[in-house]
Amino acid sequence: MGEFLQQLMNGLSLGSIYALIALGYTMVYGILRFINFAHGEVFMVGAFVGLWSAPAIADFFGGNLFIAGPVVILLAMVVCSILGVLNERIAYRPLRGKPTIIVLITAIGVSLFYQNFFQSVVGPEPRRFPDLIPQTRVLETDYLIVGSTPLVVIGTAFGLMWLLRFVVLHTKVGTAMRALSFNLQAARLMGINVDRVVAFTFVLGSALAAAAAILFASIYPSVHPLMGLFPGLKAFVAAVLGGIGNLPGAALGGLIIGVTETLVTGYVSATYRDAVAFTILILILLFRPTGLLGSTATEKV
Amino acid sequence: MDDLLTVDKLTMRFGGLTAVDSLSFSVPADGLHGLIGPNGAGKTTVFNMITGVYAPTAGDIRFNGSSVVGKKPFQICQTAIARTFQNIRLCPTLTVFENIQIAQVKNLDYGFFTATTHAGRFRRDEERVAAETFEILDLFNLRRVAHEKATQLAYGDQRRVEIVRALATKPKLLLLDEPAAGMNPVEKQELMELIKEVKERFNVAILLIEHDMKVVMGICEHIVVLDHGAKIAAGPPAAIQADPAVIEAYLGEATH
Amino acid sequence: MLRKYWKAATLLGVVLVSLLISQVEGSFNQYIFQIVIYAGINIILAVSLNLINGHTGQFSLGHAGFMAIGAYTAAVLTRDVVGSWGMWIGFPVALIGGGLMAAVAGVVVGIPSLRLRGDYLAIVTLGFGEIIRVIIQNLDFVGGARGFAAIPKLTDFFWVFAIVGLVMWSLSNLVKSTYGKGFLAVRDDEIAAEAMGINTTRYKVTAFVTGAFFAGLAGGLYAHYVTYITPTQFSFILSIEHVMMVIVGGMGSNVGVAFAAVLLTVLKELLKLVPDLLWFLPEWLLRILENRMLLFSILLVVIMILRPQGLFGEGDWVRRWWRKLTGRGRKAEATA
Repeated sequence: MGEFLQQLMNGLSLGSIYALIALGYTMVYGILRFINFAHGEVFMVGAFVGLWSAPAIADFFGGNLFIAGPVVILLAMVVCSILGVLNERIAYRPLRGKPTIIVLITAIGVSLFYQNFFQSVVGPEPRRFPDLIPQTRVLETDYLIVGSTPLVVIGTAFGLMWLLRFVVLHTKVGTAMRALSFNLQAARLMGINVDRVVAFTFVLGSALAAAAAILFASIYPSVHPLMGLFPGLKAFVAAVLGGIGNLPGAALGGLIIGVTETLVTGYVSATYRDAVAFTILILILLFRPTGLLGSTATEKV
Repeated sequence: MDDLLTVDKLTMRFGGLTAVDSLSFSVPADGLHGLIGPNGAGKTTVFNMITGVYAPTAGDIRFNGSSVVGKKPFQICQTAIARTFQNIRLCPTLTVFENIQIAQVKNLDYGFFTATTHAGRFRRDEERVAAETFEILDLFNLRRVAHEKATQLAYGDQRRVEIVRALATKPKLLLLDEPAAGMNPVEKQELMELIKEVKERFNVAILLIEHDMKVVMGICEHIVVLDHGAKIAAGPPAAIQADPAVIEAYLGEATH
Repeated sequence: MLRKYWKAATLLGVVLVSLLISQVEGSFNQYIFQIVIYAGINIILAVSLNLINGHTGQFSLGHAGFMAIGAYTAAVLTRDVVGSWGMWIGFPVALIGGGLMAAVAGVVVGIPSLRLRGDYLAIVTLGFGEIIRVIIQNLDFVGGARGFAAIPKLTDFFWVFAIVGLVMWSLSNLVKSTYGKGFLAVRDDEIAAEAMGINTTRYKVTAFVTGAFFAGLAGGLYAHYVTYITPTQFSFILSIEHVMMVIVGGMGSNVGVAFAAVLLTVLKELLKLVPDLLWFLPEWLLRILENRMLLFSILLVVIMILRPQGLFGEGDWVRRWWRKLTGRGRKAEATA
């Protein structure tokens, strides 16, 4: 029982990280109908920003992690937002309206570019991510130990998701985003500046991915150029699981994937860890292709 | 009951919306019937149910005495029902010839392995397909554009190619979804001639959806009028034109 | 008479010439020869993927998975079953066994294609490919993550190019036939195809099974050429390379796609020379340029943005050139 609760806790923290990444996929898919394959690489860059900036920032604030931690996250979010917008501007915008296959291949190309660029310039070897979360035991009983890390991770992730919810539901640009995802052409005709809203969508998604990266590296402190690949794919699966284009769905999907994966790793075998998400994906697409919270859409004849 | 097509208490609900409400009508083997009604009356939905695109919520569709409900669209086509689409659906990368060819796939004698080797029955079967394709193209005076991309033809020609393609499946019942849409008066006149000729020459029953009253009244022997999914009138053109319920339905639409 | 059988005759010619060349393989520059073999294997992969992605309009990102199944199955067959049957019986049996296993996987992967399209399908096929890889990693009798070593080197010029000939011949035959037009109809407009009596379900699964079968053959050839295979060689990056060949070749044109397969295989080798050619650049930049995948990814994005219809358009370029070369007119094309 104790071990199960421990695993569940780990699963929830991993899941809330997947949820943050998944939100970026689902927002872009909701509006532009394509899988932003390079999203996982934005995540990876976020981790590197943290890796490089954390020591200096921690120094600056006299080693006070309660201030340094949030500052590192904010910095990573800003850098990745810029990166996300650049990706959109350079690679995706010229292809808007082109067949899905073309855009998807381009996104894969961008993703490969980041992986290999970092491998060439920074080197492929994993580096250790510094501790940004103060290590304390919050709760300790006979059969369960709750450290500060999962609580901080889950708390931060849910805080950011709440923030996103506020932006999407209660701001002007959020309303424009929803209008775009409903009908891009109609939104354009209503005078919405589509390019600007799309760019803002990339800002939001990339910022969340950056925050997710810092949290992820705080749990698994190994930073390397390929680290974005699997979290990215799994987060995409989470988005599909929840119903792509649906924000609460992405969060729910992320949690489910994170928990399932942790339980399989703990109780079955770590070697099947990376197959869990894909198996879930195939099952969901076969039995409920619209996802858990998605709505149905039929093609007009 | 020796009607070719019998639609019996057909009902289609999308969520809370009843698109077609307990509709019954029939088409005899030599019939040329029309299905009319204001926009959103559920006409195309009826076609989609007959051709298996949608599964009806309730009711039955019998063709040649046996139910086609639950069959897939390709199986329904194989029972000899063919259709055209409201928004022309020709294969854009294929030529006119190839568009007609695909309607004959279901009549091929050979299968996958023969297709990869071009052996055995292949040549004989292909020659038959080519001959039949050119024959039907000749009939509609379309041979001259046989090797042009179908979607690059003039609009009226595209509509005709779509009808030819449906005929190439050798149907006993042909469903035409707004064949006159987007045509000018001259083309419409030609289309009316064409439809009558098709019916005689190919010995096929026709059910057509049309908005243009001149076309419908000009060629249909029997008309079913739908409004909000329900049948509000049925009968020969003259009776329909005088029917107050029909006039109300159309005028009601016009004042909106 | 000649015209009637010219394609079968060409196939026979290719096979005979391959046999001849395979007899004198040793006298070629081995490095260049290796590129030629890889080019051949890539033609098989690209042209078979073209049936799925190009002609049928599905979007598979899992070709490397089919290839892996073929490679491992053939390697196991050679080791445990047909090893003593000799090259002329044992090897083809192993290859076909690999192809058939891959074809079975093609059924499994093809079924989701019935309900999915576009990038959803892409991600599912990618997932299948990765699952296959994870499964192989956990199979001890094929070496697991350590890889499968000491596969006899049975693949030579003959086997590769005989199968290249076979795949080109059979798949071009296929899409030229009335039966094969069904694939194109599924790609162009599934609803219209279905309404015209085409069993789109069967066509899609057929495309996946056929494509997977040939990918399996290619996998067997690859395994028996490199003699050592690991699951990581068949990651989805490899599938992306195959998709790239199909796109560069102009989706739907077998000849164009075969050209692209050769072109990209050679290009990948040429990228190795880039640092030598640009010797005057600063050293740190050269170190970056040594990463071929980096250049490859940039190339990918640039091609997608500048020429998304592929380098050869929709194969029109190749066809026009071919017609001019062979003097085969439009009439022959029309009745073929």
